[in-house]
Amino acid sequence: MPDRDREFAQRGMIGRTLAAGVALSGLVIAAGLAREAMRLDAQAWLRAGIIILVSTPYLRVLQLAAMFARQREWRFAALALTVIALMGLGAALGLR
Amino acid sequence: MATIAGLLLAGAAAGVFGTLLGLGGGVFLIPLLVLVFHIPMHSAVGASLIAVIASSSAGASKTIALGFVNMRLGMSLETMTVMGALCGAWLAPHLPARLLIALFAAILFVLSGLLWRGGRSGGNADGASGAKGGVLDGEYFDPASGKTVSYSVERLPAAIGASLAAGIASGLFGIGGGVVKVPALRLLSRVPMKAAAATSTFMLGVTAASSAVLYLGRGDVPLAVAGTVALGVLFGSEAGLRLSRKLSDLTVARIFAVVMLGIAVQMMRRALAG
Repeated sequence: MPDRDREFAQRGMIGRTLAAGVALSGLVIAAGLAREAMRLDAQAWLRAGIIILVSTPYLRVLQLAAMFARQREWRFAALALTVIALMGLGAALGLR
Repeated sequence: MATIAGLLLAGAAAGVFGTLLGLGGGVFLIPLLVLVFHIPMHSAVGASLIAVIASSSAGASKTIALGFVNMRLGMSLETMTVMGALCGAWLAPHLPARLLIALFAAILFVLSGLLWRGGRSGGNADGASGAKGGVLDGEYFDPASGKTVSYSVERLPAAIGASLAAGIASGLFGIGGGVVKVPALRLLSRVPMKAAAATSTFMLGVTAASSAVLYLGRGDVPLAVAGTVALGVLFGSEAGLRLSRKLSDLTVARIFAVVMLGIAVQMMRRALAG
């Protein structure tokens, strides 16, 4: 098992990325909903909040790929990159 | 105002289930959005995917720091889930949907019973069991039992196969794969229930994000509905985390088994109704 302190720090880093993505998207979405309640145009705010939310898992997988590569855990780095490639493939096929 | 409160509550329920049980919540949200809020099916699925991402990211941001999430196991299985989801989405128009849903519901009935029994007699569900020095070994402190739980992942090929099946089910039926992955991790790989649920939650966001991009691109995400539900999820995930800290593995497994039975009944009704 990898060094406990390093593992703890990495977990904290990934957790902070997810929390930051969620908090930022939550704030932007809440601002959008507030604008809608005031009958102002809210679509751009809501769309931006949702795009931040959808991007968060992509960022998390990229961060894991970088983390595994730094630790020379090549098998897991390759798996993370494969997941990103598959997500990209799905998006490309669907958006065609 | 009542609609906004209802959507927030629906999202909060999805957040609780996402964090506590490893289910994204789509299987509850979609019928609610369609039947109660009269949102068209494809828009309900789009909004539900956004809620699943919120549930996964909010839940995992907390459980990962507690050590419940097994990142290496999650990464190993995620590849197969995403691949399965793409295959399922591609196969969906070519397969007899009603028969598949009925078969899937029958499998869920069986899994629900096995999980109820497995939660009681599982080898390493409660207390320390000892890791075996494998690269996928996990360890976390369980506040409910006051013990450090360490475990090894057994029968990895079976878990990989189950993840592929979970992905295919996700693509075919529009449900999250948690309903397949969590029992598989618990029953086949002997992963403790809380670690199985947290690792599933960690993975669900990636599967949902893959599909959500397509829905966003097609304009099938009702922004205000999805945004309101996502905000509700954020509150619910905090409640799910508090419950997870207090409940034993056995209780979580049994709640999951009961919820799974409800999902199986709902799917069987959907198959019979056509």
